[in-house]
Amino acid sequence: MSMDAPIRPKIRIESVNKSYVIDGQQQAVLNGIDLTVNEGEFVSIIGPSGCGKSTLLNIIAGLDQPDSGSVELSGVTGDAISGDGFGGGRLGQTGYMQQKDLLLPWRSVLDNTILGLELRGMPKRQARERALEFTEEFGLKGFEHQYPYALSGGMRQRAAFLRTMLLDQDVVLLDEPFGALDALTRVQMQEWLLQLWESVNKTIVLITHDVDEALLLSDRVYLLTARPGKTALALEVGLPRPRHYDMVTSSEFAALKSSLMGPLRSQVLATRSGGQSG
Amino acid sequence: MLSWLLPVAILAGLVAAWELWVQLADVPKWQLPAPSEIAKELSSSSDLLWDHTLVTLKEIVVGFLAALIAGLVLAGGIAYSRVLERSVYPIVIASQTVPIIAIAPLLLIWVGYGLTPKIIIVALICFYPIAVNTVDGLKAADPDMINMVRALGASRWQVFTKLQIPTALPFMFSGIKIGVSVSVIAAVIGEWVGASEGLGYLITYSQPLFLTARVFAAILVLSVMGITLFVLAALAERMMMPWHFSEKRSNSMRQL
Repeated sequence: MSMDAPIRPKIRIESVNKSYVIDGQQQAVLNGIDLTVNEGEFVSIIGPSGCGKSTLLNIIAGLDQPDSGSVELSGVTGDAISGDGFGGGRLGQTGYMQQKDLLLPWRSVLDNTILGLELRGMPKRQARERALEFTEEFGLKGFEHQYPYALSGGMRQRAAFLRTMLLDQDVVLLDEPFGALDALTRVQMQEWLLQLWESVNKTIVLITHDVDEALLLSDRVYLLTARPGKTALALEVGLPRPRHYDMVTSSEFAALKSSLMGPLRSQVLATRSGGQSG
Repeated sequence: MLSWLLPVAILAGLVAAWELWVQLADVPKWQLPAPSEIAKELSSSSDLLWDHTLVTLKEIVVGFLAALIAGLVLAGGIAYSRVLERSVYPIVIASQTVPIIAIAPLLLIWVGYGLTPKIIIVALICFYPIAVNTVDGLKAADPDMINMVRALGASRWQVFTKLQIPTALPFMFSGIKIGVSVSVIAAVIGEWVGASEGLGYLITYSQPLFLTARVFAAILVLSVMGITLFVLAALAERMMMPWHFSEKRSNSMRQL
């Protein structure tokens, strides 16, 4: 992010409410949430289980619609961005990656990565050529023609990530993308993501349970309350960039961490006493 | 290797015991012919058997293909359209309670004694497993995957073609394998009700004449036909879903 570029909000969420019928009861999941992500920012959302983090991402991606409140993406509010009428206007406008890699078992790794391009009508051959330019950077070289089951968890996740990134959307939504990985692979993936993000100019929203991950990667961290979720805290992370993993042991990092851990712990306790779960 | 050796050995043992028993106990030929007698009949009546085999095979192939096309089209419609699912699907399921064998005599009244009523019976019997399995398969797509594809910008039709159809393939082939297995029975039943050719006809014609070896020969040909059709369906399955079988193999390797 260059300092002289004007700061423009890329995602603006204002007093969004959402409730679902759970076990025959109407339950509020999001309760008047506010959140802003500026162009080129890396923002993390952290909060207790079941606080509606994934619902929020689904709403931004257009998979779900809010009951009330406004959602603005790239300066366009609500359903005004034209989709093809199937499920909402923001669909296909963001890159969305979930915790599960969700690779299609009948497609080779390469053909999985081009799925988004293919859905947009790009000829397969052209899409494959485009994907092959990135397989090395995404650590998939030599595995392009394997089926997904033959790959390790980290590789599958990177393949899913390449599928998300190939569409070259300005906004990328990541829902605990490293949650299912072992600790070592997770650290590798975090550093890799950090490097990747610093080289491209994307707006990223990351959902995570991992405080270190949130602080290491983000410009700002939003803490959500226990369900129904709303913004409890927005913490600016002033750590210098480029960042690297060694920073997690710095005193600056420790201070930020403690200012986040306290409120997070009280929200987690609120979840328990409320008797609600994930 | 050993997996097919063992059943073949057991089968060979049974046939040998049968041969031995018929020879030793002097069982009359018209009651139970020895396997050697059946083999003799197979070679001496090969032309006759072949002619009737072609007739039955034609009934099966045409009937099965008709069921396949109708089953897949209807399954696609039911999975794609809520209206069809609510209106047509219950009828399809309820139709299975109608004993199709009992309809066979009616078909003779309506369309005569030619190949047509047999083809219709084969088609009616094969249709159900193909249609129902394919409907289940088309609905089996993982909701998370549906969301993933939608978030990538897929249209309803693209969700159907890129996600639901490939998900349905293993289910569809289960239906097809059940379908080809029952198709032989269906053709024989069709011929029993009234026919002038086909292996089922040959059996009903030979039985009152006590040509028991010929009845056995016809049954044997029918079995071989059924097995061959099943193997062909399994081969088609392997060719259309290479990922499915390499994945299974690697999973079973992991369990070792």
